[in-house]
Amino acid sequence: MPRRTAIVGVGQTYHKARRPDVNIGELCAEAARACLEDADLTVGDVDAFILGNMELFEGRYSQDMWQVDFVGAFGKPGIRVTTGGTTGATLACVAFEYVASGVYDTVMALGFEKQSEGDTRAGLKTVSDPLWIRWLTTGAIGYFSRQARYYMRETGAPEHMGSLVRMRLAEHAKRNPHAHLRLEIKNIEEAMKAPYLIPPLRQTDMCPTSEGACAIVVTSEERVSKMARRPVWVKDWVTVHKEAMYIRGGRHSVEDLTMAASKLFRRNGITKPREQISVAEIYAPSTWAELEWLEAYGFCEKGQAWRLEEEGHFYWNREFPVNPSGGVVCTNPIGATGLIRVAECALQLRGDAGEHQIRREATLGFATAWGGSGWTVAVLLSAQKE
Amino acid sequence: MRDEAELLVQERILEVRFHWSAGPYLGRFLGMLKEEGRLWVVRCPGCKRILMPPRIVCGICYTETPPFPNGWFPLSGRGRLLDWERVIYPQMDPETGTIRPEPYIHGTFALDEGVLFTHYLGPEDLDESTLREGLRVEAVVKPKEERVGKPTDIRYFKLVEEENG
Repeated sequence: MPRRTAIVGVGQTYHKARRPDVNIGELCAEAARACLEDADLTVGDVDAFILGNMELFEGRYSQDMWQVDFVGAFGKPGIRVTTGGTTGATLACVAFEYVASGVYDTVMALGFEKQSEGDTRAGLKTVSDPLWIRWLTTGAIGYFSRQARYYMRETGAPEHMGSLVRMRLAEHAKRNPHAHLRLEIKNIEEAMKAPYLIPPLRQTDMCPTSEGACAIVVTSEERVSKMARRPVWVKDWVTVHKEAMYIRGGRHSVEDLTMAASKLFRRNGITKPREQISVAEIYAPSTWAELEWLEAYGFCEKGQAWRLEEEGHFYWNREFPVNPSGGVVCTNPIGATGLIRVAECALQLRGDAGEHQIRREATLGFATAWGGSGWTVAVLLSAQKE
Repeated sequence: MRDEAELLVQERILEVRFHWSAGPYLGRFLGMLKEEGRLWVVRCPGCKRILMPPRIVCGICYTETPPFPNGWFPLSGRGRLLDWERVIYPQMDPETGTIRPEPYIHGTFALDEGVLFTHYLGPEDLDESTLREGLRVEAVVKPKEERVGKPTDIRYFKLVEEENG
């Protein structure tokens, strides 16, 4: 029987397109120290460290070894996790598993990225088989323009919907001191002036490349009782793997998202997701993906998300807040991005999200990560131990 | 906050050579493309779906597939346009590291035998207003002396007239 597990501390750096003020180790130290301070712990209280980022972005091998001194992991056990876009959420899941198994009591998970130090687009192009289809890849922008077209065609969503989602996320990001892009968008006309990347995908529809780091501390039920900080309980988590090119021949498909959420909801008695879950921090690299994926996760019927968006349903102070942090479209240090989803959900459930604290009662939180070419991690957090 | 100009950022360029093994399934597929200019595929003995390119096991039902030529057959190279994107953003060609000339159209094609394939749509079909799902397409294959055993031995797909009957 796995042990009950809780998140007792979170820490984030501030995020920018470039952070030449620090090296990677110093960036990690910033998140680790913020996390320990939040948890009111010292490194001596942490039994193991899970570190992770993208494989090829900064051109360094064994990054976990490089960061050991900076996060206080000297002489302690731990591994590096590098599962592409899902890295951050996988870091959290491994920490949950380390603690739930009973092998370690208190574990830190830390994700980071410093994208300006290498070439993100070159790194991402290595995601597909060099002998088969790599020559054709258009990276994330190509994938998400196709996704946007597909969503418009299948649901009848008008082209301004991407910009409407961005207006919500921009409003959320303004309220979040850790968000990277803080665009002032006055109205939909102004939002629609953003140039196209690949139609209908505009520059403002797509996530940025950010630099930053995020850390959480996870501990066992026994240790929680000795800590002052309000714990957030880890209810469940699911990972789904898929490779899209060989199975689907490049055809757009969201089956991995549906598989992950339906499994998570089924085994936790979630039958009315928008009612039972208070907040969603979903890893959606584009505005259009946010709409389609809310449907794929089962939060609404197919074709309903853009209509709910038009009604303002997903704002931080409304019925079902989606990405009150501003989401991936505003902040994207890739190796940390999935962990930020988990950390932000935890802050919401603690009631510590400040200016972007949701207005409805925060009882259950849903955090996800996604990676090319079709992986999903979904995490369910709870304010109550039950 | 310190001034960025005071801070040290060093630059290096690394050049790395890779030697990837294609293996007997993908290797044969690429070899036949070079030799014949055709796409040879295999049907999964378990779930009956077509594997393109052929692989040693089916990724859905995990049944082992037979080695060439048992159960392998060539595709006609004809199909229908399923989806596309018109790329107007400068994209790096992962083969060379250079920027591809744009615009170009990246299409997904439903081939007649029931398998999907992605490739370019040809330069004569760049006008997006003429494109719609279901249009008839055909592979344009490079002449034999230009073929090297890569998927780009197919130059692109082009729109063709609907056959009668």
